[in-house]
Amino acid sequence: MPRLDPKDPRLDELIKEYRRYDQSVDIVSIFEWLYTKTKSLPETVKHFERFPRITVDNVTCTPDFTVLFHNHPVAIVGEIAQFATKEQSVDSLCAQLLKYDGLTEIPGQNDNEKIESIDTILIVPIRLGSNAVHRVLRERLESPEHIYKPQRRPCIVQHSFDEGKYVLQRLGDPENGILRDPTHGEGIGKWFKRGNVNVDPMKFSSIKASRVFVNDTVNPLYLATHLWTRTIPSKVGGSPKNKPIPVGINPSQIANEIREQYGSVRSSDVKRALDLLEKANLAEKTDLGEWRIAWSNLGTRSKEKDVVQILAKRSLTSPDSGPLAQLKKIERNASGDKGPIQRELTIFKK
Amino acid sequence: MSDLLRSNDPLGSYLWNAAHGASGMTPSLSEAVEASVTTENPCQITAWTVIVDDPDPLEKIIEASTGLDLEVKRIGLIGLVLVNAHQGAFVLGIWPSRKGVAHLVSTVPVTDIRWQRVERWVRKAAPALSAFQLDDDDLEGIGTALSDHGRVEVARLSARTTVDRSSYTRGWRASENQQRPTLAEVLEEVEGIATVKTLTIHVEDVLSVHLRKLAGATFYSGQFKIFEEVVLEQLAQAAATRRKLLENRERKIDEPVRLPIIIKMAEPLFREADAITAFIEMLTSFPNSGLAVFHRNPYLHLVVTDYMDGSNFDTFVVSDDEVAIHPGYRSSIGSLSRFTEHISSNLPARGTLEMPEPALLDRDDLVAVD
Repeated sequence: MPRLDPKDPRLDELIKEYRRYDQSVDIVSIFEWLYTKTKSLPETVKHFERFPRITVDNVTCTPDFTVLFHNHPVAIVGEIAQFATKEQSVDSLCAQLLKYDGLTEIPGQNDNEKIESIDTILIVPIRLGSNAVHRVLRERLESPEHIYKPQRRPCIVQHSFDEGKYVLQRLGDPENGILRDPTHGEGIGKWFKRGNVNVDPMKFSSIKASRVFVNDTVNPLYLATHLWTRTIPSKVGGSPKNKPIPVGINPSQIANEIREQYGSVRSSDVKRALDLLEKANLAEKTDLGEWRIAWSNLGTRSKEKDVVQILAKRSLTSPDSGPLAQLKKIERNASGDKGPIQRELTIFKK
Repeated sequence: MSDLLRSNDPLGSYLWNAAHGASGMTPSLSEAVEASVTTENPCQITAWTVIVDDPDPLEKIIEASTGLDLEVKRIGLIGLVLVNAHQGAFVLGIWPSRKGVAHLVSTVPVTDIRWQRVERWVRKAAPALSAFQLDDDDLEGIGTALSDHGRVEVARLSARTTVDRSSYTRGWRASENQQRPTLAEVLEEVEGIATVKTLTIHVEDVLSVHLRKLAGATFYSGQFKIFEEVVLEQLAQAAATRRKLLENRERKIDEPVRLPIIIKMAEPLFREADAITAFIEMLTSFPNSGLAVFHRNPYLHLVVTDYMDGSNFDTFVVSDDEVAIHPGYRSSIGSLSRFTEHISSNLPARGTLEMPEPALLDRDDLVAVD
């Protein structure tokens, strides 16, 4: 494999994006656990939706989760976000929050259900917590010039990790929004008033293992890893002799299967993951607009054993060797064709 | 060959000569031992209990033993493999015990190079055949069952310390003034300090056996019937229980996700700063597998893919003393057994079980008051 500087910023960026996506999976899994698997919160919940897709007046919203309550006219819409230094990044986030604020219905068990009002939770990592208050609430919501004027202030919650637990903390700024709990029973608004909510990863690990995506564009490295380590082996079985197995992939078909098994993935997400595998010289496009993956154990000849790292590095270096090259060689030999490399050698000998 | 076999392996020789094909009667192991092993012709009998996920384990053993001079016969339900090894011919018997459980039986000692070959075959025959580690409770259960026949004393213990996995051995001599400790006393003594690998046990003058955590036992002397009815029966029971725990674990669309399998450690192993790195390193030596780390710090979430049959497991380390395994949409008994065995044999594991239904937590459990 062509050498890649371990400090190559492109590798760092690929891994950072991968981890960011995984962190979002954690956070949405925490909220799903709180609203569906704890003692008293689930009693108030009519429906928790992890992959909401709400279309009102031809505008489609895909927040990270929604919570519909029994006998309560207010629903919660959750958005897990990161934003950059650029103003445009926060403007775009506020535009998204504004769309949520105007929703009049959210997903129920079967169909969307009408609601009177929305409370939005904006969940950010701790490094962006104060920044979010300042830039979303002060610089935009409070500013007469800015378009961001929701009916209800968003409730900004920051997350961190401390002593083996995720910590969710509502920022105590007076400008920050408050969640309106159902009048009956417990509510997370009361919990945040009382203190920080601490969740041990053990609690949500079953949810994370079973619904491994969030409702955003899936990180290509994350989905490529998922395909390589879960979807393909579950479909094709093993490769005990470690010979590469050709696996045909139709993006929309495989997206359907993953959706059924693990949650929201779109065929465009699958295409991006396959593009990454193609760059890694592990897949190729076929004439039918599909992909063909040469699947085998990637860790046998590499010092690196982590498939995530192997895929990331290969996608940046596109090495000539590997399962796809091996598969083509096997196929050439089987068809009696000595292949371009050997033909070139023959010419050279002449 | 048959003379050599008779002198080296009286049990194997007897079975080999008695074999008349799969349609014949299946003898009991006790009957075969009584008919072949005499005081003039004594030998030890090694048994290894494995989980089977294939209708014909004999066939799988043969496939795994490529390049060797073997002959095969069947005697009722028992499969016999005559191995013409240059260290001496011997017969390996595959004795089905109950559904999905078999004892591999031979007169070759476990320390013999020929038995190590058998161990390699079983590894190669995965996931059709798989070894498993006994839980601490299984060892206690064998002791309790044997105590019906006399005081169960330990003459020798080999273990690994929980701190650094270094070897720990200890022997006890019997004397007029002092008895050896009982199995229960020894297990209590090492709890939290070391995990047992092997035990040499004497049950008065009734039985002497070598018991192994890798679900095996060797009959040294005494009443073989008690060895079969108590020790082998307990091993088979442990294998059947483990098989039941590991079967039908693959996820199915539209079915509720089952609770994970957890491997409980004898100590808070993952409290150490470098324990996660060491754990990942250990998993990289799991044969024919690959791993992908989804989350590493401060808790570990990775997927392990078994390239033998495509089984895949979301694996979490989220507490100081537990590994949690969530099987994916393909999970065979053999693969899950192989995977849990790999972890249990490399770490100070106490037991493998389904995670108990978690207690429902509420505000006071989750909210830290400012």
